[in-house]
Amino acid sequence: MMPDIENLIRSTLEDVGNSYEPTDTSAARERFLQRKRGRRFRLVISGVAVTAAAVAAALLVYSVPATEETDEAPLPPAAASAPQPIATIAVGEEPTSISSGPGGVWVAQADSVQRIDPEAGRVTAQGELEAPGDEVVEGEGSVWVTDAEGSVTRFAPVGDDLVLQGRYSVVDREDAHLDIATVPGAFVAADPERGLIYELNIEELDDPPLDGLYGLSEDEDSSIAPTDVVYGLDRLWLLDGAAGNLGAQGSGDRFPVPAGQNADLAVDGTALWVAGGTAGRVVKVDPETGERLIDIVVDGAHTDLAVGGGFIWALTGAPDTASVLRQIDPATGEIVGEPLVLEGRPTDVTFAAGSAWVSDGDGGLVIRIEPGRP
Amino acid sequence: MVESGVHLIESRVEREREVAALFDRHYAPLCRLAYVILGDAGLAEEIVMDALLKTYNSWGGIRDHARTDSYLRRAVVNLCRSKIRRRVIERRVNQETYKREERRAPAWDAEVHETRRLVWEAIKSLPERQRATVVLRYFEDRSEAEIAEILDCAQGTVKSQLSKARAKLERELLPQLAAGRDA
Repeated sequence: MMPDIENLIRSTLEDVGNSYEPTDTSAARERFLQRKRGRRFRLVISGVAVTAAAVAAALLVYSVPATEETDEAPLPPAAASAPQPIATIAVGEEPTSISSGPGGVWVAQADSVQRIDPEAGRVTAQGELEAPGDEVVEGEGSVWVTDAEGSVTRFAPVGDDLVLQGRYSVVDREDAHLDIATVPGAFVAADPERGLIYELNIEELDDPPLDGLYGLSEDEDSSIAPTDVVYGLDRLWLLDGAAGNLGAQGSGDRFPVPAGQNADLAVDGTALWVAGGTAGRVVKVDPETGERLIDIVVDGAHTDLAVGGGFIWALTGAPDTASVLRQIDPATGEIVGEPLVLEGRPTDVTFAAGSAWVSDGDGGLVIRIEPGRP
Repeated sequence: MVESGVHLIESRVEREREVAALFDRHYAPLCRLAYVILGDAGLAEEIVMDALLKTYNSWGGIRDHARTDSYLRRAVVNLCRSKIRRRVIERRVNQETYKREERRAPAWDAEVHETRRLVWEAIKSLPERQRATVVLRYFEDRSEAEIAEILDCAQGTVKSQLSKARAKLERELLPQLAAGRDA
């Protein structure tokens, strides 16, 4: 006689449940209470406008022995027509990425994200990270920092404070490198390994439905494995650096571009720009037709791009060679002045308050660079 | 000022007690529920920790504290379902993760528990909503109304999910079990 299926299910699940006991409940209880207290502590500190973050950032600035400059320090001027460094700002650790937005210049590093006030020329706020920081972006009213555990931490810039809003798991693995952007109503992260775009719906983050899903959705497009994402011209643009493919989310059009590992993508008011990483090229692409409007040969194995001040800023570098920053005229593709050679290990570039800003992974510095004149 | 300070401290101490009690009451049973749904002890404990913190953080927004049990179960079950959905994607693209899950399965005694192993493998192959429904019904012994509240769906949906799950398990298991008996 065959057994009753309901009894089989019930007894099997009982066996499975009985085979398991939670490991070290008292340690878990302590961890829970600590995490709860930690969260409240951070909120209270920021809520009462005690600018501990700014103080901590200032202490870090003062504690970096490699730079005698505490805020901005003048450097020798370069040729008049070329972009030239005008100040260095100590950020204390090894910055991994830099970006800018209405709140200032943002620097992600090992244990924190820091805000540089371009007017003051110094670090004015700091937010702690639970895991080493990777990419940072400001958008949709928040600052978003990905970390080495595949999560993103969200902060609200409030005056000189950074208020922790939450930390959300995006991918379930360590050492995931996600490129990130914001689009209207959402934060997005590109995962080239999985070929997925993850989207965090901000409305659901602000009003979580107690379901633990954090408004996370996934968009898989088999035609592209995005290594870089950027929002502009009312679309989310995806670059598959490894395959040399470029296109907009939701569009079937894919444009071939000269790109390799460590490529980067940017959008100016009318066109797309791709810095090709190991492909050694910077190209301007028509967003409607994919036509290459400008094609510049550069050296270097990794590249980063920024748009600002009426120019395109291309940072290129390679192991054991100095990095170079080029100020490119977007209309003609001409390089303004001589390319600026940068010592150390520049990791990223952004543009804010009339200057280009380059993070230096070796020196724990951010270098402020004044544009050259054509 | 002093008096209000004392009240503040007392209310904070009271709140600490409440939170600790919340943990003590729910942690182990919720871990067991998550484990039975997922079959992964580490992940189950991680999920329960997240669910407890999330519920605590939303404490002020919970109107009916008598229903904390339902809220917590809903958070745990939905986090488990989310993990299962994500694993489906991972299995497609990441064979290593799939292998890790297999390695963490319970150590069944092959001879004594072969039937149990077959049944549990079949339960784990159910779609995530059916799987959660089956665990709540047969492991937690929840009524259809309670399951509907936890899963935030209609009772009719629970009934149909259970019916589909049973039919699928019967289809898969009965021939295997019959073959085992014949052998």
